[in-house]
Amino acid sequence: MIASAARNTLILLLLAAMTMPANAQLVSTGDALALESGQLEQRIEAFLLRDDVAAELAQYGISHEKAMDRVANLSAAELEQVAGRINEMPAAGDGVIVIAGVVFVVLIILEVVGVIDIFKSR
Amino acid sequence: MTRRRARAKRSNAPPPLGAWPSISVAAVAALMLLGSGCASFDVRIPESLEPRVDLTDTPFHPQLEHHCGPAALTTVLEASGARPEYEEVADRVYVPDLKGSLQVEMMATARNFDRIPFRVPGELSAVLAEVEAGHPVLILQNLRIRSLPAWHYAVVVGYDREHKEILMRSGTERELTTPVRRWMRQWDWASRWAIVVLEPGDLPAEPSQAAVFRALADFDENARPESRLRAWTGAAEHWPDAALVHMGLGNARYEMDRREAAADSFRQALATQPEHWPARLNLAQVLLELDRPCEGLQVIKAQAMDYDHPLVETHGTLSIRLEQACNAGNPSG
Repeated sequence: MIASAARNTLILLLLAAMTMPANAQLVSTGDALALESGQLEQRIEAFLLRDDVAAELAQYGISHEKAMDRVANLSAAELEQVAGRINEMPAAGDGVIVIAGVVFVVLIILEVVGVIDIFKSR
Repeated sequence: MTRRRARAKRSNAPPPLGAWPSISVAAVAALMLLGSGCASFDVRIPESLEPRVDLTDTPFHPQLEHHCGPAALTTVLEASGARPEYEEVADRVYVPDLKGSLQVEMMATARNFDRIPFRVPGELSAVLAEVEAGHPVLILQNLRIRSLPAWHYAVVVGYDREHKEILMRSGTERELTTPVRRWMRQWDWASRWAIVVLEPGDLPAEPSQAAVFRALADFDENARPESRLRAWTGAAEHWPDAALVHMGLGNARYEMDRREAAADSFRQALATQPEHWPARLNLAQVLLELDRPCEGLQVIKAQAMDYDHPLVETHGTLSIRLEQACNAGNPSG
C-alpha cells in the first residue's frame, strides 16, 4: 500500500518533470495519445530507457556519442521495443547467406548429375 | 483447406508397419501438416487492384556489403522526394557488429529526413494497395527459415496479377521478380513488417486511424513544427472530428509562436471531446501566455479532474498560476 503510494508519487513527479519542461509548457501530442490508451506511465518510463539503449547500441561498434545521437530520434514506443534486446531483434544485412545458398545449390546439382559424390549412397 | 488435404493424404497412405501404427500415422499426418503449412497463405492479388503495376521511377541503390537497410531506406526516401546522402543514411541505421540495421532505427532515420514512416497492415492486399497508389513499400524478409533467419530489407515497386509475381528493388538487383507465394513466405517469416515513407501531409492509401496517429505522434517528438503542421493538416482532412488531430495542430501552431491559432485548435479539440484533458490544459496554458488568465481559469474549472488522473500535477500547478495571475489582474476579485 505504502509502496504503491510511493510509486505513484514518483510517477507523478516524473510526469510533472516530463510533461512540463521549462520551455515547452504544453502536454505533447504523444502524451495525449498515450493517455487515450491508458499508457502514459509506460511512455514516461520508456523515455528513461534512452540512456540504456544508447549504451547497448554502443556495444555493437558505434561510438557512445553517435549512439546517443541516434537514440535521440527513437520514440518512446521504439525505445520500449528494443531496450535490453537489441541482439534479439532482426538486424537485416544480408550478403553472406545468398552466397552460401548458391554454393549449396551448385553442390546439389553437381551431386545429382554425378560430377561429384559427397552424399555417398552406397 | 490445408487440414482437409492432409487428412485425405493420410487416408491414402500405405498401412504403417511396425509395432506403433497409431504413432506413425500421427507422425506422418503431422509431417504433412507441417509440410503444407505455407499453402494456407492468402496469396491472391485482389481483383479490385490494377492487374499490373511497376513504379519504374523508383530510384535504385545497389547495396554494399550488408547494407540492404541503408540501400532500401535511401530508395524509399528518394521516392518520397527527399534527397538523402546514402552515406548519411548508412551512418544512422547501420550497426557494424550486427552487420545490419534495426527496424526502429529505419523508422527513426526516415523521420530524421523530414519524412513519416507508416506501418502497413500485414496483408498482401494492403502492401499492393500502397504500390498501386504509387508508394513503394519497404519490407523486411526472412530469406532462410524461421529457426535460422537471414534478414533482408527490400522495396516492393510492383506486381503482376496474371503472372503471380512481386517486383522489388533488392540488394544488388534493380528488378527482382519473385513468385508471390515465395514472397509471401519470406515476408510472413519476418513477421510481415512493412512501411511506407511519405512526405508530411500525405497519408497511406488505406489509412487506419491507429497507425496514422501513432506515426504522427512519433513524428511530433523531433520534427520541425512546419512539417508537423502539414502532417496534422493532412490527417484533419481524413478525421476532422478526432480530438487528437486538433491537439496536434494546436501544438504545432504553438511551436510556431501562433498562440491565437493554437488556442483555436485546442478549443476545437474540446468541442469534439470535452473530457480531453491534454487539450483543456494546453488551452488554459496558452491563454495564460496570451495574458488572459481569468479566461484560462474558466476553461480549467469547467470540468472536474479525477484525483488519480495522470495529469493531476500539471493541472494543480497550472491552476495555481492561473489563479495568481487572474487575481493580480483584478485585485477586487
